[in-house]
Amino acid sequence: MDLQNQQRVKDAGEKFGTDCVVILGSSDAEGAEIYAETVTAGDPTFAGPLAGVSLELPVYHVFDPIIRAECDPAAWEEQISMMEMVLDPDALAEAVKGMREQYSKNVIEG
Amino acid sequence: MGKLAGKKLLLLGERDGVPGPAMEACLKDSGAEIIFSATECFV
Amino acid sequence: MSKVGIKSYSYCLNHAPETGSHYGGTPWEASHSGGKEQEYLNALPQHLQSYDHALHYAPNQTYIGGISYEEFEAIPAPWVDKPLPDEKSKRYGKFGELMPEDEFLGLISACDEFELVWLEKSFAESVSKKLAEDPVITEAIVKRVVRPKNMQELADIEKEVAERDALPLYHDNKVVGCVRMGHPTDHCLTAHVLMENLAGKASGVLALLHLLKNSGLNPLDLDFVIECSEEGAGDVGQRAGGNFAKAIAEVAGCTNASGCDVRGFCAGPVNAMINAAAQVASGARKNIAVVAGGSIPKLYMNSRDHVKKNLLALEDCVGSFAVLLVPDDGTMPVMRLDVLGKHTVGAGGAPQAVTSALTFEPLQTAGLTFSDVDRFAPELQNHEITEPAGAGNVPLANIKMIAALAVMKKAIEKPAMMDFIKKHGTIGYAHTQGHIPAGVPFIGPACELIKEGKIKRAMIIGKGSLFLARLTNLADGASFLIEAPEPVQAQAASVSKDDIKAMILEALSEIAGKLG
Repeated sequence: MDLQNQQRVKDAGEKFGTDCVVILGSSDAEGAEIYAETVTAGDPTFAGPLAGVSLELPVYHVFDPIIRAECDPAAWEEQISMMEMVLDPDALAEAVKGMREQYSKNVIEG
Repeated sequence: MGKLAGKKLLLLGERDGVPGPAMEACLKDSGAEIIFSATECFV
Repeated sequence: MSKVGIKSYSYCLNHAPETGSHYGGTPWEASHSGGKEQEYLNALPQHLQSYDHALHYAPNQTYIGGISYEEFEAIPAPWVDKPLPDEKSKRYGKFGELMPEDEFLGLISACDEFELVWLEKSFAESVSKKLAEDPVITEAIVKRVVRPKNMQELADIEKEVAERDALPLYHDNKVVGCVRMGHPTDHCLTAHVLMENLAGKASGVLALLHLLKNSGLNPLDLDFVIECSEEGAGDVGQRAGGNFAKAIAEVAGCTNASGCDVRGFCAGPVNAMINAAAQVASGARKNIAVVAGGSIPKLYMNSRDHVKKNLLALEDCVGSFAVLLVPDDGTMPVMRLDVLGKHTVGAGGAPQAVTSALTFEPLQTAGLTFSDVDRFAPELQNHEITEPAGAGNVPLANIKMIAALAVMKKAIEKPAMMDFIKKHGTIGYAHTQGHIPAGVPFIGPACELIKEGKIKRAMIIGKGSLFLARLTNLADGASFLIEAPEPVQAQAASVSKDDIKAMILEALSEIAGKLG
């Protein structure tokens, strides 16, 4: 994850705790998993501000049914629906879920 | 009241996935506050 | 005139593993992280690819035209463990070459006008001899490598590094030269920035030289150069002042050419092509070479993950390309200017909005549909590099976006998506060099396929990540169509309504004149 974005997540996480919800738009399941790990357990590459910092933030892929249900349907149709055909929504949601179940606190119940 | 009401959202999008502004448009009326929305590009 | 001829094209790679493992963005960042990433830095040298391996690597040979795109497409990934046979793994391909690193350092030195590059004397002499064997390297360039001011003793080079912020250049794990700083306080003229810019310039020179060879154009007949990399050459007062184009033309001996730079992140090359084509079509320029050198900072960008997964770190080549545009004479593949993909400020950043602006809308204007385009070339990054880094298969994702949009626009049925992707898509083979993989590598193969009568039409698409500069959050992109030529006779036969109107008016006024 970009170092500047790690810093922004860190700042927000420290200020608001697990009231923060991280939502990912990653295209690749493995990439999504690394991002989810970064905002929960800490930066696995040890390169950024979140190295060794466990924010334990609740994290979801935007394709997770829990998040999708909260999205404006018209906006979804216009902005995201095409990508449902392009990406593998279930695999992406599952990859993030794995990390969330392991490391996140204060998760939103489905 | 949605499940995200009162939450602070951090949106991390990807250019060749779902970009930040697209998620922002879908979640702006979710009752949560969008703290930031970013887009990354890996290539 | 809304078409211009694509006369010629060149694609080159400069193997640069040692330069990359020191000065590539990721290793450079890691080496300045206060020891946090020492494990990765220690391991990286064991993951480098030899020049010989790089030569036998199918995506590299596809880029330089050592094998055709169709041959490449027939080889399923992974390619890293499927070395090409020796006869298909030559240094020189139909489009360009894969230059070894020592010669690249020599070429960088030849591109220096300000005594910024010092090469150790015996090294400079040996690489100048090697460069002399390269069919495109001119005698003038060979001589520049051994200019006395650019050759120094090793002790002086080491002193410059130790005392005056120069950065060492390596070959075979030994210091063989350095890039010096251009100014003691100007952060736009540090040795690091200058190395990046000189490497961009040198790789652009190589592409332009191959373009001249491939086209048979006399360097003195080149009219204009548009450079479209993502480098910024300037000083503290004007951080990206430019002009790479003229600097490149100068070294290539194009004395009668002028030039300028066009920027737009990865959408730069497609915008430069449109810019150049418009100038040629209007008659403002006789011909234009669109040129881009490559990027040192992008070398080994994803190598943290390659090292972690014990894979070869393949991001070891500085890429470059050049395309020569000339007036359409009915014999060459053409670039159309009447239908261009334009992503407007108001279009929004949603993938479907971007894809629609770049594919559906121009096709609709042209009276065409998705399946009328034989090949779409949106992004051409080699996925063997990006996938292990969790960045996915970007070319495939982009082709899928086009197919998904075609479904949404009811141009194809949803079950036909995979067929469409296979038939109309392209597989990536370009290095992750930012602007280099953004559609333009396929200009060459598309023209070859058109000349062979195998396809009629291809679409080249470039997308730019403007948010990286923190200037705007807008998405960006541009696209154009390449088509088979129409014979000039057919062109003459297709007279427009306006032409007919003008002819009738002329005839009427003639008659009126006679009557009067």
